[in-house]
Amino acid sequence: MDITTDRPSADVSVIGLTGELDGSNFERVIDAGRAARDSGARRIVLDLSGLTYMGSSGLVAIHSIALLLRGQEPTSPEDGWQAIHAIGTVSADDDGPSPLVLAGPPPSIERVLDRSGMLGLFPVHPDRTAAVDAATSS
Amino acid sequence: MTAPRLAGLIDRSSLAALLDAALHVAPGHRARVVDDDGTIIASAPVRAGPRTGTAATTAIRPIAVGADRLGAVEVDGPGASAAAVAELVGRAVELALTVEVRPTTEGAKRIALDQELAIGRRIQLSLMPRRFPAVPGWEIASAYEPAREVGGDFYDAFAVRGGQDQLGVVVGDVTGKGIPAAILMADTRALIHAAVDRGGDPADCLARVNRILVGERASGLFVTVALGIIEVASGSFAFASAGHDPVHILWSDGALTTLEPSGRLIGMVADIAAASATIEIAPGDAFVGHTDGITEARSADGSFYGEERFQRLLVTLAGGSAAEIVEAVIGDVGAFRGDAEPSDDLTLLVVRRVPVAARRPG
Repeated sequence: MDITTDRPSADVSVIGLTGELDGSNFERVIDAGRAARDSGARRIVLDLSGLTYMGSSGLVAIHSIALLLRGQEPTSPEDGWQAIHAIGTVSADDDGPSPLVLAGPPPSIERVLDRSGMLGLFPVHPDRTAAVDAATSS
Repeated sequence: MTAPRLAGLIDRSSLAALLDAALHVAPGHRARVVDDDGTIIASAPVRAGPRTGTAATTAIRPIAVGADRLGAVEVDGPGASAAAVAELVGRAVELALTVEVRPTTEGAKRIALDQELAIGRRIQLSLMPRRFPAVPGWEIASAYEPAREVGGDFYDAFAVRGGQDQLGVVVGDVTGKGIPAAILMADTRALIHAAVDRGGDPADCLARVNRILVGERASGLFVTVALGIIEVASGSFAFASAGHDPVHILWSDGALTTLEPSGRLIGMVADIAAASATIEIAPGDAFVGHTDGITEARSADGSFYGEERFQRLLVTLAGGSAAEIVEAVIGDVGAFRGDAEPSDDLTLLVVRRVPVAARRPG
């Protein structure tokens, strides 16, 4: 899976994914999100249009980036036993526009997002341009 | 050839110091530590001492952590004492590797993670049902094929409150791996049983399970669950899903109904917004639950088995017993996959209401 990062503005970072997102590489996506946040981005557009497959690990990656943008640290598999502790959760009622925006999920990916209930938690835009516009203006 | 590993786990100066300390008590011996490819990574100089006149041998004592052979200690000297020195050094190195050594290198972290994954797998496998309840008028069959690396699937069919009135059926999938995933699986299974035994429709049960997990044990891991509660006598089947793959009702006449009620996967947010649906299962009809290990099974050329192929196959199996349905599906998935290595657990659960036997003449 390839990951690209672009910075259309100081506040907004676009992370583009191409290929298959699964248990073997989802942590790279989280790392890209962390790097974007650490470099000052406050909104992240996750461009899914190039994905041919996304497993449940993709949901973990999306959730983790959302946590990072809220100033929280997601758990990592290497935390082992320490992973079982209370961390914050993303809420559908969180104040303000979502700092994480999804763009261009192909039909199979959208089905995974829909089935898991993620579609209701994050704004989804049909393509990268629309997502960046929305992230920049809100 | 795999990269030498022992050299990445414990630094050479520590090994040399261990060897030197051991040789203090065994003058006249030579000792070295070799990596698993035979490379010498540490050695200690011979200390002068009285020669005993016994022929020198080389004692080789493997260094292993669990089943992983990492290298060996080799000691040249008179037979019995060479073996003793090798044993002494070998134990010291293994102790240094496994106890209280900060994982300062990637190799040590990887071994610790592998061990944790293995423990997590064993816990998960131990949670699988050993047998199903015998419920008059119903038959239950399942297939479960754990993949080597990934895990997380679970399933169950249980007598609600231990009685004969209701049958609970569950199929689920936990994200993540290792011990946290195994703990979440054990938690989820226990909470589902408790919620169903307490009463309420499946959507209420899943909501309760989610509130407890999110509120008290948010681990960043999630679980999808499909939950059905069957009234044994009437065949009324109440169903709810939290982010899980759709389930099917295979009618005895070959029609297929797909149930995909919405509900968020468990563990992410406080409200999963699940809704229950009820459907009547008559004799000869079957409930079929699966995990994405079936629909996302891949052939050698990378294509997915897919929901369409799964549904087309199910339709041809109408009227078969639960065991026949399971066997046919697993056989077809296996044939599709061929030699390709499974990348995920595969789970199938079929609960069928037994057809009323035709009366025999005479």
